[in-house]
Amino acid sequence: MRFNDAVSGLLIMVVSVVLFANTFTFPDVPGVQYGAAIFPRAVLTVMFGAGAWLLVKGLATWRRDGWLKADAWACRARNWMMFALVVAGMLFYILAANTVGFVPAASAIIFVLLLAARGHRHLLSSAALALSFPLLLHYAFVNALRVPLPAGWLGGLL
Amino acid sequence: MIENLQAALALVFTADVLLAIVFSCLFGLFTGAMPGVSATVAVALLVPVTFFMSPVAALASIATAVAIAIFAGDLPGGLLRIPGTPASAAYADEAYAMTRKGEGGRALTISLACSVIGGLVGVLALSLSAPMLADFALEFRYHEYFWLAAIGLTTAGFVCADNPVKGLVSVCIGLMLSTVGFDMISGVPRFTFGYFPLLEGIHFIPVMIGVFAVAEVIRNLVQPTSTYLVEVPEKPAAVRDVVGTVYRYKGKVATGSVLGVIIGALPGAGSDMASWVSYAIGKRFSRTPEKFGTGHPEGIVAATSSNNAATCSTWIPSLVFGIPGDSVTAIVIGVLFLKGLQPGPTVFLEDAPLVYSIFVAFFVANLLLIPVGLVAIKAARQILRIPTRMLMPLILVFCIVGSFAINNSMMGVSIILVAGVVAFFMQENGFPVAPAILGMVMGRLLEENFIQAMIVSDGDWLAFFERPIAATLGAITIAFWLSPLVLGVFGRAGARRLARADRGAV
Repeated sequence: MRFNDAVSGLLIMVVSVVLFANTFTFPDVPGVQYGAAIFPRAVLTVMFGAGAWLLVKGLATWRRDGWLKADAWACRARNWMMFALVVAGMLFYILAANTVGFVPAASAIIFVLLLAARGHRHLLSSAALALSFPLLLHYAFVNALRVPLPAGWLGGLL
Repeated sequence: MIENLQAALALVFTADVLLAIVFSCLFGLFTGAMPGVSATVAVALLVPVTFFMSPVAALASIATAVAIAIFAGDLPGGLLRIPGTPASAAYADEAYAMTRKGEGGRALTISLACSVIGGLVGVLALSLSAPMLADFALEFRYHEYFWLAAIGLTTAGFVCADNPVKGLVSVCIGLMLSTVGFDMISGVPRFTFGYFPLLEGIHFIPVMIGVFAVAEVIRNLVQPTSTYLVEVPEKPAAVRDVVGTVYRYKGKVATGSVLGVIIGALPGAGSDMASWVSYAIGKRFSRTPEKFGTGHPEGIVAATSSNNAATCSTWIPSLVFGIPGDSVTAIVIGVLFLKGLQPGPTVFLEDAPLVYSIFVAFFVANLLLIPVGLVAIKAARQILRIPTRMLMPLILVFCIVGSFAINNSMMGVSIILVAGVVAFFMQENGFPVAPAILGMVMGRLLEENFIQAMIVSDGDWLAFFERPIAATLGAITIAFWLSPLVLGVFGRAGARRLARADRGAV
């Protein structure tokens, strides 16, 4: 899914301007000749210039290419569903893992993704993997590496 | 040197380091052989585990995993025509053509032999040149380091992208990420937007996991590739046949190894570029260039020895100057910082045995590659039967655990999510992501040296060109910056001349 370079260029320019404006909020420190803003401003100036270059180049091809060129994968709803499932899975982990625990949250993510990627024909092997892999990781990280993964509902059992 | 080497041998030949090397060897083999999991992704996944290791074990693990993964990338390249790592892409067609002729095992064994030779040449170059260069680099001051960092970032931006402007944007994104949090010199918080956890800055490891691993998981799930495994039983070729082939093309193996060392040592280049250049040069100077692409061993030997040699030599700029040679060594620099070590010439004075232990680890890894590689060739068909789409959800959960383990908070998981999605769309739109990681690693180095140089020279810009080495490095950097402009002007002038000549002919 390729946006016209003018779109990317414009986005880069807007971000550069917003961040450049933010550098004016950095307080001046007495005795510090070259302050905290000098380096970010230099980088943002280069970034703005690069964005402007992309904008100009993109506008030159706008009529021919349009603003968006969708690749084959982007035309299939199934692929977007896979994308949404990955993002939703990670959001689910961030929001729910502390309550439900690492093993149930990770098992749910793996099971749903495997089901979506491999179909119902491999239901049993997907379920087995979804259960065993988080348990293996839990053992390795909690027992061997001493990482306090969220215990959640299975806190007393694991 | 001998004392340092003895101390390094004592450090490496301990139970925990050897165990880490064996584990990393198997890990590198598996990940390198999986299409879609590059050597960089392998290292990104390994870093959270190295977090809990001693510095020697951590660096030995990374060195081993990379050395093995680069060879393992040849397995799917040869049998499926899908290179496991980008470094195997240059000769994947050649190896696959041999497989179609029933010579897959021979192609992979020749590749293994040349990988070991290239790797050993690379280790030799690394261990001999790095200490000498470090002595020379002790003369460097802020100005030289500023220019070195600028050269590294410039080549990274220009080399990684089809469009250098997009590479430049990627570098700038990395540099800006490095500025988040407290400014090291003035102590002022920057770009935190009132969010307290950002005061410490954005941790490099979750960004790296997100950019390399999560983005790759998304890509493999939304753009699944169909694979076709040629059904011919594979077994390693006879030793006499392989030795004979390598001996016949000894010149090509030597050229490939030396080219790999040179290209790998350039900041921002790396093993991918080394193998493409070696393949092209091998074809250009071959007596039978017409056989290239038809399943000819000559098309494999130079490129495969080159990428393994480059894998070692990319560590030269990283260890000596603290300037990463490629995305893997950018991760290595991050790991060195995490372990409380400052890469640069002083590390050769203060922690010389540690640096030498990296050389020893690379040497051990390359020797270990011989038995492991032979077993891998036999087992390749079984490894490659594991569908990538089955592996991706597992890798995603591993990424989540790895990013959580860094400081036991959900902040890391949130960062890999954002970094993964942004990196996916950046790559879709032709923006390379490796320069962003290089920018993030080198941002502090660049900024600190720039500000210190300005303070020392009292704001005099000419001071950046006063010392001979600084002036040379500055001239090289500026030449790099101006090169697209000059090439563009000459290109247009050439096109105009051609058009005029065409009109004259009509």
